[in-house]
Amino acid sequence: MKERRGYEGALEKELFREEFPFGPVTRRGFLALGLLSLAACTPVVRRQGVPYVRQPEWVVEGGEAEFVTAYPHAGFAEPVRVKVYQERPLFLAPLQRAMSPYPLAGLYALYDPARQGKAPDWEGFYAAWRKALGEGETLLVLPRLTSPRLEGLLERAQARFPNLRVARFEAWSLENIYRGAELAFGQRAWPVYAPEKAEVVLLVDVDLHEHPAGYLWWEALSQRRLPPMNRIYAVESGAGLLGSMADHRLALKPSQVEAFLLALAQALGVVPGSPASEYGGFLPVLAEDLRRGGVVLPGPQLSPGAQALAMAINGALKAPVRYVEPPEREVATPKAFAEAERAPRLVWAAEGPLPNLSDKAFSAALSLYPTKAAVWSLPLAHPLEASGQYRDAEGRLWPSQALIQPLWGGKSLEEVVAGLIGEEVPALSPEEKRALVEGRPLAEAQALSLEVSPGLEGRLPPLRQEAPLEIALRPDASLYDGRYRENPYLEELPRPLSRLVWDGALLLGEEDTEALGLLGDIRARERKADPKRPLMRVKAGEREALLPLWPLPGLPKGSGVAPLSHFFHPEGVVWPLELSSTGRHYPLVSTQYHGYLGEVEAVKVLEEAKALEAEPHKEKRVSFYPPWPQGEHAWAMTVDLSRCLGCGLCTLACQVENNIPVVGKEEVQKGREMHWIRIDRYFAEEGVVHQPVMCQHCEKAPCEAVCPVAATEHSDEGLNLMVYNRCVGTKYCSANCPYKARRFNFFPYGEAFVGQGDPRKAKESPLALLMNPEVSIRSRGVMEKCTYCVQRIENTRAKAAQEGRKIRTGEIKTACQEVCPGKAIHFGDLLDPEDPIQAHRKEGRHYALLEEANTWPRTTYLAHLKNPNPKLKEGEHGA
Amino acid sequence: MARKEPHPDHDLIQGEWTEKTLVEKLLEPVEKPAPRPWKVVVAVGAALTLVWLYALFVTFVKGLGTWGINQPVAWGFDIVHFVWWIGIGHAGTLISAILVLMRQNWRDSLNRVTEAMTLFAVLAAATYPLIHMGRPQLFYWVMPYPTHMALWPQYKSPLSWDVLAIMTYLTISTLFLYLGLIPDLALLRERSTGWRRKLYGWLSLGWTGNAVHWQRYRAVYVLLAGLATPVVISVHSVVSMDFAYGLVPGWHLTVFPPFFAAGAIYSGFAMALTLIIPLRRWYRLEGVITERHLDWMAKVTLASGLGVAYIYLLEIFIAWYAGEPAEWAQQIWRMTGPYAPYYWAMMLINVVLLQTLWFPRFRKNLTWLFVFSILANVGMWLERFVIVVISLSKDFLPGNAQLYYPTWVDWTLFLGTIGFFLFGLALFIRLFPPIAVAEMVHLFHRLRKH
Amino acid sequence: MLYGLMAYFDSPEKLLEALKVLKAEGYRRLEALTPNPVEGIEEVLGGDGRIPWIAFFLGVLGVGLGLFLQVYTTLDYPHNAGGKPLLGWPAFIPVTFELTILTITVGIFLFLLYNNGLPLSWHPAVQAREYVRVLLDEYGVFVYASDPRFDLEGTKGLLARLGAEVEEVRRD
Repeated sequence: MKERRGYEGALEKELFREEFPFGPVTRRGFLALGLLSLAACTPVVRRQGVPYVRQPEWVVEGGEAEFVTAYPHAGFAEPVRVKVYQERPLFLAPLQRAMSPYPLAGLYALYDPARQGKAPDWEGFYAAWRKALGEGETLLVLPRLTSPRLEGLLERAQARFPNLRVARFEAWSLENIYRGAELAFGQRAWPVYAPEKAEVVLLVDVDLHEHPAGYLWWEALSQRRLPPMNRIYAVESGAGLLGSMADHRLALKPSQVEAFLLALAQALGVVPGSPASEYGGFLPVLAEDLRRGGVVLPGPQLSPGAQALAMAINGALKAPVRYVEPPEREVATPKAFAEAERAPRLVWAAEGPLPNLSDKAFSAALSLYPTKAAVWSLPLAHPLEASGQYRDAEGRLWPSQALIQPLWGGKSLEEVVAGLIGEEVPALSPEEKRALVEGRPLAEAQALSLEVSPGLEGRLPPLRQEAPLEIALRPDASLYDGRYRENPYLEELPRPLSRLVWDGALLLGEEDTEALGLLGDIRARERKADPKRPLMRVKAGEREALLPLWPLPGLPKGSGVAPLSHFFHPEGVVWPLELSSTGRHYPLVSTQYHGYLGEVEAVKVLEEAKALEAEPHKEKRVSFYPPWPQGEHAWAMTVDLSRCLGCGLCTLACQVENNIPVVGKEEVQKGREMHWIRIDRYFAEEGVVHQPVMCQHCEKAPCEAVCPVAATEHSDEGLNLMVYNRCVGTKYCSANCPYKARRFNFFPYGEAFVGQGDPRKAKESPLALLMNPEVSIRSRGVMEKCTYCVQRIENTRAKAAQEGRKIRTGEIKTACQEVCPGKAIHFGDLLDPEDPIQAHRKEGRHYALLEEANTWPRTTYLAHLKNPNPKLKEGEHGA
Repeated sequence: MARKEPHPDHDLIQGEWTEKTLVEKLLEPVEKPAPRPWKVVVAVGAALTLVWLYALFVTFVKGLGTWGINQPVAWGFDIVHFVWWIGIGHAGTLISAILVLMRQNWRDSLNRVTEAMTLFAVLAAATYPLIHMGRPQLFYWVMPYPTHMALWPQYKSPLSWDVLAIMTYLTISTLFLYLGLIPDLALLRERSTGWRRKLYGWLSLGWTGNAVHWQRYRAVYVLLAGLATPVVISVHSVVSMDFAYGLVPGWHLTVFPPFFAAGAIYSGFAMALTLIIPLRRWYRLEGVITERHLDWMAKVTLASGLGVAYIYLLEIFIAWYAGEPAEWAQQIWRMTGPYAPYYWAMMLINVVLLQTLWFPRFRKNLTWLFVFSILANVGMWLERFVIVVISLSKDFLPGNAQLYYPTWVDWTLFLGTIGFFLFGLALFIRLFPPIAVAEMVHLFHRLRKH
Repeated sequence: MLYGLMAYFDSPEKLLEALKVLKAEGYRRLEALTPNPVEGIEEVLGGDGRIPWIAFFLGVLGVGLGLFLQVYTTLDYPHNAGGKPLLGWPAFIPVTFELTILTITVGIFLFLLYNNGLPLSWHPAVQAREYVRVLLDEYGVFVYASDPRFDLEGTKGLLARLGAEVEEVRRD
C-alpha cells in the first residue's frame, strides 16, 4: 500500500489507531478486501492482505462495495448481497427472493467483542484431539451439514481416524420430512414447493421460521395476495405469522392436526375411509377447494406418517411440488444430544443447546462464542469470515466467501476438519468465483422423479396420540433454538403476535389460562402495565422447565407452545403437557399490550371482491395555506398490508442500516424501544393484522410546527428531516406525533449499545465498526425517527450526478424495502410517472393512516385483503 | 373635622391601632425573632432543596432516562408540575394587578405575600422546561441570538411563545413586587442597622418619599397593574396552547385558554389560602388579614373553580358531540382506564367538594377552608396529570398506548420545588415585610381618618 | 453646615396648606416627603403627564420589535415547518404581545427610575434625625438652605406657624 500523507493518513490513524485495539488483526489485513466486483475472485483470505500492484479500475479505497455470498442459517444457505463499506460488512440483503432475519442480525456477532476468548491454540487442540482419538472413540457432533465438500473432508478424516465418530445435532430436525418421503415414495427426498403456482394453499402447522423455506414461501404466497388472489387455509396448533395471513384458520391441538390431515386425505380419497369429523363444515369445503389446484405445506414437526399423508395429498392434487435429494447426507437430529452427553470423548461443534461437557476424558467446544463449560473452547469463524458451501432450502448448492479476515482467529468447520487431517481447504475454485460474480448457485439440486407408491394406508405408522394438554416445542422466531441468544438485535426483535422481547414464554390459549385460574390476574396486571406474569412449571416427557405464562388469542384449547430456545427435549418436540403454577412471577416485556382495534380505523381489511369494486379513495386534504414549492422529487412510500405478515425483518434491517441501538429489556418495559419501525398487531375480527408504523413523512407534519428550535423541518422533496445536531430534546414533536413514530434517546443508547452497556467504552469497542458511517449516532437527549434512508437517497443522487443522469425509477431502495420477504414496502417518487407507486396510490384499497388528522402523510397503506371462501362462514369452525 | 359615616370597608383592619402600632405589627416578621414554625419551614424547605439539587444532579449526569417518561408519554411530571406551578403563580399577579384596577381595598393586606408566592412559583415552574430538555446545556438555543449555524428559533412553536411568555411574566411580576417593596425598603433602611441597613439601603435605591416621586410611582404602579392583567391571562393561555396546538386527543380543544386561566386562578387562590391561613395564625395577623379577607378569597376560589368545573363537563360533551372516535376513546380512557381513579378524584375535588364554598358555614370555617385549599391544589395537580399524562398515554392508534410510572427522581424533583418554594418564601418574609406596610398605612388612613 | 429645615406635619391637609403658603411666599427649593401618595399634591407641585405617552411609544416599539424579530428570523433562514406559510401571522400574535408588554414594563420602570433620579445614594433630608417619621405617619417638607428666600429664623417661624414641628438639618 502506498504511503499516505496528510489528512487521509491522519484520519485513518484516528479511526484505526494503527492496529485494532482489540485483537491481533492488523489494519492491512482488515483492509485487504477492497475490491468491487473483482473481489469475488480474490482467494479466501487466510493470509495478510497484499497491496495492489496495479490499482483496479473503479475501486475506491474505503468506499462502498457489494459482494455475493451464501450465509448459512441452521445449515441452509441464504444467498445474500453483502454491502461492504470501508471494508466492513455492514448490511445484508437477499440476493434473490427472500431471506430470514438471522443473517442480517448476524452482523452483530461478527463484531461482537464477546466472541474473543483466550487466544486460540489450534495446534495444541489438534494434538489433544488426535491423542484422544488414539485413546478411544471420540465423538464429533456437528450441526446440520449441507456441504458436499465438508462431507468429503469428514470421510477422509474418518478413514484416517477410525475412532472418529460423527453425529449431527439439530434441535429442530427435518428428519420427519425425509422419513415421510420414505413412507410415501420409498426413498428419502426433500420437497420443494412452488406455492405461488397454487390457487389454494393449506398450511399445516408451519410458520415462517420453522421451515427452511418459510420466508421463500411467504415471498411466493404474497405475490398472490393481490387480486386475483390465492386462498390460504391454515390448520395449526400454534399461532404463527403465516397462519395469521390465512383466509380461514382452524386451531387444533398438535395431535388433532395430524388427525385432520388423515381426515383430509380420506376426504380427498387419497387413503380409503371416511373422515371421522367434518370439522364444522371446514373439511369438505377445504377438500373441494383444494381440488381447484391446491398445495399442502406441512410443518417439519409433523410425524412421518402425517408428512407422508401430506405428500400423498399433494401428489393427488398434482400440486406444484417437486422432490430433490435431501440436502443433508445424514440427518441431524436432537437425539445426538443424548449421545453427546454419554460420549467419553467429545468435540461439540453444533449449535443450540449445550450438553454437559464435564466429566469427560476429552471435551472440546467449537463455537462462535467462547464457553467455559469445556476444557477446550475454540472459536468458530463467523459465516462472513470463512468460505464454504451450503445448500439452500430448494436444494441448490451455493458457494460462500470470506469477506473479512477472522477477527478472533476462528476457523470454519471445514478448516477444523481439514486441520485435523492436515489438509488445506482449497481456495475458491474458478466455478465458485464465477457463480459468486454472477450471483447464481454453484449447482442445481438433483431432481428426483417420485410417485407415491400405492398402499400408503398400510405402511402408515400410528399418528400422534391425543392428550388433554399438549405442548409443542418450536423454535423461537428470534432466537431459533437458542443459538442466537447472544444477539441483542434478535433478543429485542418483538416475537410474532406476542410482541415479547428478551424472553421466551409458554404461550397458552386464553381458555386454558382461564381454566388455570390465572387469566384474571394477568388481565389485571396487563391493565396496570405490570410486566409480572405467573411462572409455570412446565413438564413434558420427563423434562422440566420454568417458563412464564403468556396467554395468546388464537391458540387452540388444550395446546401450548414453548420456545425451543428455552425448553429443549432431545427426544422430540410434541409432548403431553403437565402444567403447575409455581406461585412465583417473572417479568415479561411486550412492546404492545393493547391488541384490539378501537374505534379508530387504523388498519383496513377488505375482501377481495370489495377491493376490486372499491373506487380510488380521494384523500381528504384541508388547508388554508398555499402549497410549498415542490422539489425535483416527491418521495413517498406505500406499505401493502396484504403482503405484510409482520415478520419484523424491516424493523431489523432499519436497525442495522440506521445504527439504531438495542436498549434492553428494562428500557423496553418502560416503553423506550428505539426501533424506527414498529409493527402494530391487532386481533381483528378477520384475523390477525399487522401494520408497520414508522414516520409517515407528513406534508403537514404536526411535529415540525411545534419544534422551538427548528430541529425538524421539511425538505422540498417531502422528507420530514430530523436535524440531530440542532435538537435540544423538548420531546414536543413526539408528543404531537399522532403516529408516535418518533424515538427519544432518554439515555446515551447509541454509545451504550456500542460499548455493550457502558457508554464510556464505546470508542474502543469493535462494535463501533458495525455502525454505518453514513448515519450519525445520536447522542443522549435527541429525537430520532425514520428518515426514508436519506443517506441512500443522497448517495444515489450523488452517483447519478457523477454519471450525469437522473435518478432511475426504483433505483433507491430503503433498507426495509430491500429485505421485506413479501415485497410489501415500496419506496418511490410521486413525480415519476413510471414509478409503480403511482399505481399503488390509485388503487381502491389505498388509504392514509389517520386521514382525519389532516397530516397528509407520504407513507400510505394498501388495505389488507382477505379472500374468504363464501361457503365458509367465520366462526363456524372455531377459527 | 366632622366624623363621617364609617368607611364601608372599615372592618378590613380590626382592632385598636395607631399608625405606629400598625407599622410595628406589620414589621414584626422582619424585626422580631422568628417564631418556631418559621424555623421549621426553613429547615424543611432547605432539606428538600438539597434533595432537589441531588435529583437535578442525577438528571443532568445520567439523562432523562432516570425519569418515568417514555415513548408515547414524552411529557410526564415535568410538564405537569410546570403547569401546576405556573398556575399557582397566578393568584399573586391577579390580586396585585386586577384588584388594584378594581380598587378592591382587601387586596392591600394580601398582595405582598401573594406576589412573593408568584415569584417563587414562577421560578419553580421555570426550572421544569429547562431540565426537561434532553440537552439542557443547550437551553439558550430557544433564544433569538445570531448563531454560527445562522439558525433562529422557530416562532410557530408554542414552546417559543412559552419562553417569551414566561420571561415576560417573570419580569413583570418581579418588577411589580419590587416596585411595591421600594417604600417599605426605605422605611426598613431607616429602622435597621448593620448589614440589613446596607441591604435595604441598596435595594431601596435611595427612596426618600418625595411627593412628586410618589405621583409618578403611583402612575407607573397602576400602569404595570394594567399590563400585568393581560399578561396573567395570556401566560396560562399560552401554556394552554402547548396543548391546544397539538393533535393529541384531549389536548386539541379551543376552550383550553380560558380553561387554563380559570384553573390557574383557582389553584393560585387555593395556594394563597394554604399559605395565608397558617401565616396569619403564626404571626397573629388576624387584625389585618381578617375573616372577611379569607371569605373574599374563598369566593374568588369558588368562582374560578366553577369555571373549571364547567369546562370539565364541557370537555365530556365536546368529546361526544364532535363525533371524533379518538376524542371519545380518550374520554372513555380517562373515565374507565387504568388512570380512572385520578380522573374521578379530580372530579370529586374540583366539581363536588368545591360546591361547599357556596355556604358561608364552610367558608367561615378556617379548618375546612385550609383543608379544601390543599385539596384544591391536589385537584389541580390531578387535572394537569389528566391532561398531560393520560392524554398522551393513549392517543390515536391502539398500538401507541403505554402507561407512565414516575420514578423517585420525578417525585424528588417535585418535592424539591416545593422545598425551594417554601424556603424562598420563608426567607422572603424574614427579609421583607409580608404585608405591604406603606399601602396598609395608607389604607388605614383612608378607613379611619376620612 | 446647615442643609435646610425639615418640617413635620401630622396630616396631609396641613402639608398641602403649608406647601401652598410656602409657594405663595416665593420658596422654590423645597421638597415634600410623605409616607404615601397625597391626593391633590399635583395641584401644588405640578403633575407629570408624560408617563402614559411614554408607555404608548414603548408599546409601539415593542410591537415593532416583536414583529421584526419573527419576520426577520423567519426570512433570514426560511424553512418549511409543518407546511405552514413562512409568514403565518396568527402564529406571531403571542410573541408580539409578550414582547410588547415586556418592552413597556422594562422601559417604563427604567423611565420611572430615571425621572425620579433614582438610584440616589445621598439626600440631605434623610440626614434629619427624625426623618423616619415622614416614612411612617407624618408629612414632611424639606426647605433647602440654598433657597433665595431662606432665612433660618424667619422660615422656621413660618413653618411653626403652619403647624409643623421643625428640625434643623446640619452636617454632623
